[in-house]
Amino acid sequence: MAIRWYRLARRLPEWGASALLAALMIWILFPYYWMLHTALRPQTELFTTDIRLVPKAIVLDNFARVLREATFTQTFVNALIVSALTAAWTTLICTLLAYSLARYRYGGRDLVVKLLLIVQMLPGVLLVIPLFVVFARLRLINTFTGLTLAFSTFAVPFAGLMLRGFFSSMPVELEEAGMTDGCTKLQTLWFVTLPLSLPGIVAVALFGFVLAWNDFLFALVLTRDTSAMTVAVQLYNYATSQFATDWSLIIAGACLMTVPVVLLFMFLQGYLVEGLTAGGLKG
Amino acid sequence: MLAKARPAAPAVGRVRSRRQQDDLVGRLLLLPALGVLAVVVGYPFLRGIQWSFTDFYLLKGLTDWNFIGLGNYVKFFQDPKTPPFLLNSFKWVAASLALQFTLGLTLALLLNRPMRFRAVYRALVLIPWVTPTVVGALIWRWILHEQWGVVNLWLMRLGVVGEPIQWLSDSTLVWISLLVMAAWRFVPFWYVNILAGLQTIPREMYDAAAIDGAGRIGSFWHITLPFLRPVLGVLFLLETVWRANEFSTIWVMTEGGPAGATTTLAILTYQTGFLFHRIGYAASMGVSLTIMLSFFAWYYLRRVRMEA
Repeated sequence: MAIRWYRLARRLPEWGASALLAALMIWILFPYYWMLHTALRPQTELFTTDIRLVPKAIVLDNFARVLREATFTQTFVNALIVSALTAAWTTLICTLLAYSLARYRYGGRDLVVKLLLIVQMLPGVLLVIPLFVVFARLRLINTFTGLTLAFSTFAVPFAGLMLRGFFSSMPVELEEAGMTDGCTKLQTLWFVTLPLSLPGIVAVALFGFVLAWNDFLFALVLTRDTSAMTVAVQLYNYATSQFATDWSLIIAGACLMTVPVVLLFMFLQGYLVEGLTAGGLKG
Repeated sequence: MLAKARPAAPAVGRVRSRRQQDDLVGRLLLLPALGVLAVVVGYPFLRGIQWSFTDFYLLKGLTDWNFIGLGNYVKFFQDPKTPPFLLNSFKWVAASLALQFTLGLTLALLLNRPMRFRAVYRALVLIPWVTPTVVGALIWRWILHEQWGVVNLWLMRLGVVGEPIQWLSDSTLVWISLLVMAAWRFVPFWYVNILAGLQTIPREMYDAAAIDGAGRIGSFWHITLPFLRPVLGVLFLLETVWRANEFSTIWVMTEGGPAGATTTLAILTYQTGFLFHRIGYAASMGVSLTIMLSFFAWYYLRRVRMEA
């Protein structure tokens, strides 16, 4: 008997760890479950004290309703366009920057990396003030061009640092082989390095898309109406406007806004860790 | 470094050495990205500093401003309403870091053990990081909704509380709500970096410690933590800066309320600039924030390893 108790006590830390992990996973995942739960419940059953873990009825009405809101679909498409533009053009210019940082040997490269890290640490609320004034003078407020430029403030350092990591981790021997065959460094970039690192570059572009898609501050300040506003700002507007009590609609919209990032999340599985640690976060 | 050691002799007349040509191409490749940063970050940043010394007021027009020296800074630091906002920033950063570090470390330790479905758990934990801030904040606002939120409804049904808890309208409870939501959003970042640190610890270290008679807690203090120190150092520095700069999470969750209870310096800067249109005054707050954070940023840049 005593021995059995002893064994039990030895297993307690294991059980405790499992219970802790379960609690943390519930904390992390429950909001997603509740988001679907709310969006799929009929609007009429939203305000009820009879709350169930599994809803009585599942309907798609709320999604249909939010998709009928022109302000939602318009801003959703806006966000897709601006995020794609941001991703494409920052990846383009950052590929050049990162290749240069990873493969050339001129002085001052560390300075450039530090510059990118500094840009990442500047307060957005400070940057957006002069950006607003300058954009207002240049008539870039409420335009895709203006938003894409503003999103570059965070997308460029991120993509630059992450791509530099990719290029640095690629074996230099392949490029050397290309150079022995008479290519210049730029030709090896085009014919050897780029094709080989294409998956990484695509991953960086998709991360850039997610960053732009998720932005709130710049889009809040630099857009005025639904012709350029992004869906993030529009959802916030719903929550603070005439729709403020229509949580079915707001949460259904939130679900739809999460769909693209969750899809990308699945594509990016293998790159998530690189993406999260891309700030050069090595002690 | 090699470039400096190499004599410049071969570059006689118009003939450039291969090496110098190479360096030139390398520098040219930087130009597009650095040019963009100069336009969208460098120029606005300098303008922001300039305008922090002016009475720039949006309602007076976009080009009509006068230099007033340190006026904005003097006003800001002499205003009796300022200390509470600074204190809010401090509370927000300190509590965020403490909570997120604790939970991130716990998750990393839990998911570093061999177990079934570990890859699935590890992937799921990261989802909040890619979830849009607005979506995260709105769903938490709905979960914590005073009247119809699931937390209050369940607590009342279970009889834990008689009255609905004012998760977002009580000036103390709002901090709990905000910190729980922020932790949910930012713990993945801590978790991934700490886990990466844990994975660099050689197994033999633990075996050796076990032979020397160290228990779980002993090996945690004497092996795990010392190994994690470098990564934790940069994490704390970077997160201090990032959290202090945080706007979206707080704004969508609470808008700095109730009654300014969660108004940090970053929130105040936004309000001053875009709700009260005081561009000059807001710029001086943003610059003050940057100056206060510059020590952490400087120390971070010193500690972070430069090789990719």
